[in-house]
Amino acid sequence: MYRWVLLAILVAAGGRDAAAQSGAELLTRGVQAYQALAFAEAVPLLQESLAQDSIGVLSPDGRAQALCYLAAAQLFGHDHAGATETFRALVRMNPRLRPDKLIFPPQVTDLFLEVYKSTRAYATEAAPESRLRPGVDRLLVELYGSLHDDVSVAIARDDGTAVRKLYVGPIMDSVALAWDGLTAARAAPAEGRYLLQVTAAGTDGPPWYELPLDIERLPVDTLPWPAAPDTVTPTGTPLVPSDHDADRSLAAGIVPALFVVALPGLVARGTHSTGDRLLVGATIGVAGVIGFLVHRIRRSPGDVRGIDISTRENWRRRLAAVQAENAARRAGATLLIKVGHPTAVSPGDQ
Amino acid sequence: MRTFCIVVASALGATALAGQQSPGTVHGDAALVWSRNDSGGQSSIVRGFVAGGEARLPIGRLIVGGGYREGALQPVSGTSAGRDLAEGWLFLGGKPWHWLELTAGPFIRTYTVDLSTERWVLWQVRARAEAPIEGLRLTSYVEFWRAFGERAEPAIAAGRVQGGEAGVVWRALPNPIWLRLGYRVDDALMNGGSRSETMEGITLTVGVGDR
Repeated sequence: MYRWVLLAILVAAGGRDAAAQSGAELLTRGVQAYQALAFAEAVPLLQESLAQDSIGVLSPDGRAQALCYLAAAQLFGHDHAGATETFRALVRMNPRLRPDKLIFPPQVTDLFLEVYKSTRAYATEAAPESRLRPGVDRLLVELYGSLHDDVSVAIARDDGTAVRKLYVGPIMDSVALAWDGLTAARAAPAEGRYLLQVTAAGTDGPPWYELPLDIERLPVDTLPWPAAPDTVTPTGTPLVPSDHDADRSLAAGIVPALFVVALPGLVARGTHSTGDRLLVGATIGVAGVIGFLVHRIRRSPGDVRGIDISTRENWRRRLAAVQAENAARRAGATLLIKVGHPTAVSPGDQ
Repeated sequence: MRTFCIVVASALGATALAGQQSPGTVHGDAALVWSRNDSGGQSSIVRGFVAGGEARLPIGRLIVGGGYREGALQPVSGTSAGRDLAEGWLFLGGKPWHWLELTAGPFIRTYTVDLSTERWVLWQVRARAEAPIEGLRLTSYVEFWRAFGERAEPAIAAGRVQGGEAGVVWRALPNPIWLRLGYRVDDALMNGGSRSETMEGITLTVGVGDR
């Protein structure tokens, strides 16, 4: 059984190697045929070498070389339309690529220039992976365009939600873009996939070009929350349940209840005050009795829910301070941005 | 309409505070109010609902804030006509201890009957104590205030003006929302004691913030 699996792996690897040799070899043979002026023979060889590229044999440089020779062979083979389409593919692959004037004659380079001027294409150059502190560092992206367009460049979520506009204006050849890693609300973005989108300025049309950006937050050290006063005091001393907690709760209910009853007499003459206030007094008194009973029921070792109000307030203040510090640390976290493979969504040639 | 605006503004403020975890407090309240007027041996009582709100903000060790409420009071007994009640106040104070709050500031109360308006302008000093019944979740409070430098229009020889309040507060911890049920009463002696005005109210309050 293992023998058959091993054999299958070797066959698959061997097949891939054969394809790789075949793609490069086809390109070499096609170039040789072109140089021998055998254009009719060169065209199928170069087309086949490009077809081999579908399984990743030719490098981007090799593919660009194959496209240039193919277009030239088609042109000299009187296939003007084919040569035009081949050069259009070259421009869309990367608008910075050109056929070498030392290798190709003016008929070829002139045709390329003609195609270049009517083909909308964009390309970007950026580090494949960047570490960026939002608001401090910059993600640098060089944007290249083939046409003189007015463009709008923005960062968006992969669902299309706008995040930050980076540039609005003309692009003559290239534009240097810089993103500080913050959203329009000056906040660090959440983790996820984002897109650097190039669209026609002033329109809501579909993007001409998209560059995926995968953003991860590198882990940051955060402070632990202070222990709740149910278990320890702010100084770390274990709390001892107080026998007076229940009595204090009762007093905290009964005294204000009596105050409500006596209040009209204390501040006014009170002889004709409304009896409805007794409902409020009764409510406060009942609350005090409930608090008393709750403390009595909970009187077990380690139960400290009746701790004094200042201890809880101190704990809440320290907790809020730690939460604020942690939020600040998370907001200032370093982002890891990985640049993906661009896509030309809707080039819209002129 | 104005009451509606106050309640909406309080709700919006409360929402904003809840979202931003601000240390400030916003609350809106509704109260059933009785006002008893004794003058020249005759007494009359008016009653009605008033609604309003209050906002307060701690700045360092100080607390600043203000509030407003209004409503229409209808006659219950006696010869008094119905009247519109409006109250507004500002305060500045602090907490010398966590259980005690002291504030002072102007307080204005107006009664409007048809086209005539009676306006009281008081300077209040308030002391409020709070005690836990069940930790911070359930607390009770008592409050007492006294007015100084009172002034009334049309001119009335104002005398002692004072009041108090007590109630219970329930907090929906860890959320910043709280409910308060309270009873308040204030009393003004005017014209050398020949006239007195006593106002009582049972108030239900919904608030957001650290109160």
